[in-house]
Amino acid sequence: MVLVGLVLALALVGVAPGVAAANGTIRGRITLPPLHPIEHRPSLMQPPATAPDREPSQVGVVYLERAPRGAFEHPENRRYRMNQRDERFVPHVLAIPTGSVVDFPNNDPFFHNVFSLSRPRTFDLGRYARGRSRAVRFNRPGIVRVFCDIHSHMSAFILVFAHRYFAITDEAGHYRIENVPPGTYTLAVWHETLPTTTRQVTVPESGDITVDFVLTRSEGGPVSPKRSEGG
Amino acid sequence: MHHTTASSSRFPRLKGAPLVACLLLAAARPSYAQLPSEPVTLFDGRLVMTGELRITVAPLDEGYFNASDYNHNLLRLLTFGVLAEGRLSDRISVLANVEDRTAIGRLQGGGDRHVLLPYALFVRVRPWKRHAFDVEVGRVPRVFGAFATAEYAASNPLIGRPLAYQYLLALRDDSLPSSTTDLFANQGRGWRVDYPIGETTPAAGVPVVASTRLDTGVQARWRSRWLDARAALTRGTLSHPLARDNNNGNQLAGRIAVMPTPALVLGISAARGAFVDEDAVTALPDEALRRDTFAQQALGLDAEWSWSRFLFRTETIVSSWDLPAVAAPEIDRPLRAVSAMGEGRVKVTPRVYAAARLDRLTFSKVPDPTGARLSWEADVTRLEIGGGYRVRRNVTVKLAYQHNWRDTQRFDRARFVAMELSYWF
Repeated sequence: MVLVGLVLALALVGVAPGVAAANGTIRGRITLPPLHPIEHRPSLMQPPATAPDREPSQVGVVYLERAPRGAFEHPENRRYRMNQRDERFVPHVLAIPTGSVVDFPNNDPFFHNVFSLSRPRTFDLGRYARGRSRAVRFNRPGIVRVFCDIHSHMSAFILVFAHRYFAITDEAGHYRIENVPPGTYTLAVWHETLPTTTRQVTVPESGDITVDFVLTRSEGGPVSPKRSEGG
Repeated sequence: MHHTTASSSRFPRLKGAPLVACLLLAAARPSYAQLPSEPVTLFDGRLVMTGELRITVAPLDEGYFNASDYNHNLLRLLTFGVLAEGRLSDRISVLANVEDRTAIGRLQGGGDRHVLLPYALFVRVRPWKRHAFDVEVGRVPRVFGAFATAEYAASNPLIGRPLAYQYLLALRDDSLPSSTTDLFANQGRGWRVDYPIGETTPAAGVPVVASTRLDTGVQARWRSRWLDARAALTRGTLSHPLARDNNNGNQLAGRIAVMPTPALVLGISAARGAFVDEDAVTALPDEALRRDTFAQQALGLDAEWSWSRFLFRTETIVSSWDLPAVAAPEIDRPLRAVSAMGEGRVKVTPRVYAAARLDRLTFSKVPDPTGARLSWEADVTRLEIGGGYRVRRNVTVKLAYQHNWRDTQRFDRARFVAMELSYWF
C-alpha cells in the first residue's frame, strides 16, 4: 500500500496543484498504539552479546501521496548517513528523496555486511571493519529494507520519495512538512509495524495547518509495509 | 584408489530431481510473500519461535556418502525445525528445538522414513545481564569445532556437510571388532556396520563429530570482543552424543576462538570422553579388558577469514578412538581419523553467490593378517561446487555438484547434482 503510494508520488508529479509563491506548512503529531517489544530471533549457538534492546521504534514518516507540480524542477542530491552501532542501524528509519546517497559507516569493532534485496534498490556492501564506510545511491522511490547478513536481528528502513514533501517524526510523534504549495492533498503516515493511514488535507494560501493522527492497528490498508517489502 | 564402474551409471538418474525442486519453488512463489519473515511471538514476547524449512533433492546415493546417523540421506530430505525460546526472565530462558525429517524418495538404509527429533532442550542462564557469559544445562549445543555455529542452512554455503560432521565410519559405540580383520571387512560400509562383540545386529556407524544430534550436560560460554571460550561436560562423545549415559563416563570438551582482527577467527577445540557402551564392554571376553576405559579424544583447529564479498574457512580435526585388542591381528593402537576441509564463498551479486569445498578424511593404519599395515577405514575425498540464489532474505535456492571418491573396491566414487530450497523465519 505504501509502496503504491510512493510510486504514485512519482507518477503523479505535475497532476497536483502547482508551486505557488505563498506556501504553507503541515504540522502535527502522530500518536501510536502500544507497540510490541522487538523480539530477537532465538539462537541455539549464538546467544546475544549483551541483553538486547527490546524497545520498538516510535518513529514514523508523514508524506504527501501526490507531489505538487514542479516539485522536481531542482533534483535533490543530498548525502545521508545510517550508522552501524552496537549491532543496530542508527537511525532505524531514514526518509530521503530520490537521487540521494546514503553512507553506511561501521562503528562496531567487528564486521557488518549491509544488504538489501528490496525492489527499489538491491545492494550488498560486503564485509568491512570499523572506521570504514560504503555508500549507496537511491534513484527509485519505494521502501528499502536494510539488513545485516551477519547479524540477523539488525534491520532498518529507508523510505525513498520522489518529492521532498515528507517528514520523519521525532520520538514524541511531532512532524512538520514545510513549503507546501496551497491545494488539497492526501497526507499519509507510515510506521513499520502499522497499516498506512491517509487523510485528505487542504493547505491554505498562507499559514499553517495542523493534522494529528491517532494510529490504531486496524486503521488503513491491510498490508503491513514490513511484510510487503520483507526482502 | 580403485576405480570401478559401479557408480558411473548413477549420474543420469538426477534428471527428475532438479525438476521436482523447480516445481516446488514455482509452487511456493505465489505464497511465500504471505509467510512470516520475523520470529513469531506469543504471550507478550515471553515465547519467541523461529523456524526453518529445507527441501533437498538429489539422485540416489548408493554408496551412502551422504547418509546421516539416522539412515537418512542428507541430500534427499524434507526438514522442518522449530526453535522456541521461553523467556522466563531477563536472565533465564528455556530453549527447545524440534526437528522433523522426512526422507524424500526411496529409503536406502531401512529405518523410518519420518523422524521427529528432539534436537535441543536446555535452560540458558545469564547471571550478569551486561556480560556475555551464559551457562546452559540440558541437551546443549556442541562446543567443539567451527561447524557448531552453522546452525541454519544459510550458514552453510553448500548443500552437503563437511565429512567430519556427517560421513559415517565403520565404527560403533555398542558393537566392537575383535580384530583388524573385522575392521577391514567393514571398510567403507559406515551405513551398515557389523561386528561380533556387543550388539551384533548391523546398524549405522558414527561420524567423527555428530552434527544431527546434541549431547546432554552442562556448558558455559563467555564471549568478548577478542575471545569466544566455551566448555562443556556431557554424557556422550563427539561421535555419539547421548540423552542417557551408557557407560558411566563423561566427556569434557572445549573451544577457544580468538579474533585478532574482525577479518580473522582462529579456533582450537579439544574433547575427551568415554566412547564405548557399557554393554559392549561387558561382552568382552577378557576381565582385564573390561576394566579399561575406551575413549574418544579429538583435537580441532579452525580458521575463518572474510573480507568484502569473500569468505574462507578451513578446519582440521584429528580424532582417535581406543578400542580393545581382543584377537589377532590386534588393534594395537587407537584408531585415528584426520579430516581436513577448506571452503570458500564469494558473493557475485546481492542475490547470487558461488561456493566450493574440498574435504578429505584419512585414517591410521593397523596390521593385517600378513603383518602389513593398512588403513582401518577407507579414505574419502569430497569436492563440492555450487552456489545460491537469494529469492528473498529468508528464502534461498542452492544448487551444488558433489563428487566423492572412496578408497574401496565397490562404490568407490559417486557424483550428484543436488538442489535445496530453504526458508526461515
